[in-house]
Amino acid sequence: MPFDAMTAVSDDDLLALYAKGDRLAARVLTERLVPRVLGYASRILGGDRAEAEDVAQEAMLRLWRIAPEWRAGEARVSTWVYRVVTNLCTDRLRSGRRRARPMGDDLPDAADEAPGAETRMLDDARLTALNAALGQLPDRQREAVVLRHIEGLSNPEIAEVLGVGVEAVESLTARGKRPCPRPWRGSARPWIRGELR
Amino acid sequence: MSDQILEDLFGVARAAAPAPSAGLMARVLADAYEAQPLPAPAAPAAAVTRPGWRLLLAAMVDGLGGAGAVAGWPAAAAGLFFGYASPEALDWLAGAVSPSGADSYELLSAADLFLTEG
Repeated sequence: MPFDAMTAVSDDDLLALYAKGDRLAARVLTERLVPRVLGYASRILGGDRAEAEDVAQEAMLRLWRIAPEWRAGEARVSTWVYRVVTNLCTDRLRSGRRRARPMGDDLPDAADEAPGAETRMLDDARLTALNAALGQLPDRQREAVVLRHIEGLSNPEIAEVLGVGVEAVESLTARGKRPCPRPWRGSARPWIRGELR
Repeated sequence: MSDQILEDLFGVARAAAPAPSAGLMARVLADAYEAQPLPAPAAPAAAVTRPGWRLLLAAMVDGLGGAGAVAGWPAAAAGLFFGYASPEALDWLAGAVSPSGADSYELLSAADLFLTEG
């Protein structure tokens, strides 16, 4: 099957093809999942790019290893990988194994698409503030907020990732986004509000 | 901070999702190939359907040099029979190649000899 045709195949089917020895399926899954898990890990780890890459690689390795035993329909591949990333990030945050790096140190380079230096500086400042604010939230709230508002997962999907009920997810995201919670209040500076424009 | 400001922040974060480096993609793919199960080889159909007695026969034929060698056995057995059988026992075979009722044959007749001397 050509690469373009593979892009329409579901994650479940790709994983089944991978387990049967299809190398192209491995490539398509890699290109589909790695950007998502890297972005999520990066947000949870406060923008630490190197640490996020380690987590993304480890999560994908666990997916490859479980592929032969994967039972389609029991869980979604993407939510399973998000769950692994969540656990790996939690372990690293708790064990203090993270390298000392300032938040926002590895923000993506979007030079090609940046409309201008001023806008780029403003966006960088916003991202730094966002990472700082996320870093002050409790683990579960931070994970729920990132999954909901940045990764774009639905509440049932987040519930599957975090291993909690949908009501708990609603509570976590609501508390994480409560108007002017302490973490966000400290970030409400003029450049966050766009007043430098 | 209003919801709108928060939504703007999340929008900036979504747009600026970190792109994976080529090195990371290569490492993940290398892991995938290393952990990937090998494709299962196709099982030979005969080994699955052959009954027990045919398996035994096949083993015997293989032990005697294979099907090609065994195919020559009937001819070898016929040769042994003709070698050991007495001539009388082969009259039926002689009758098949000589005309019935003829006792003797003259290979050079006297009439032919006269004609050739001219």
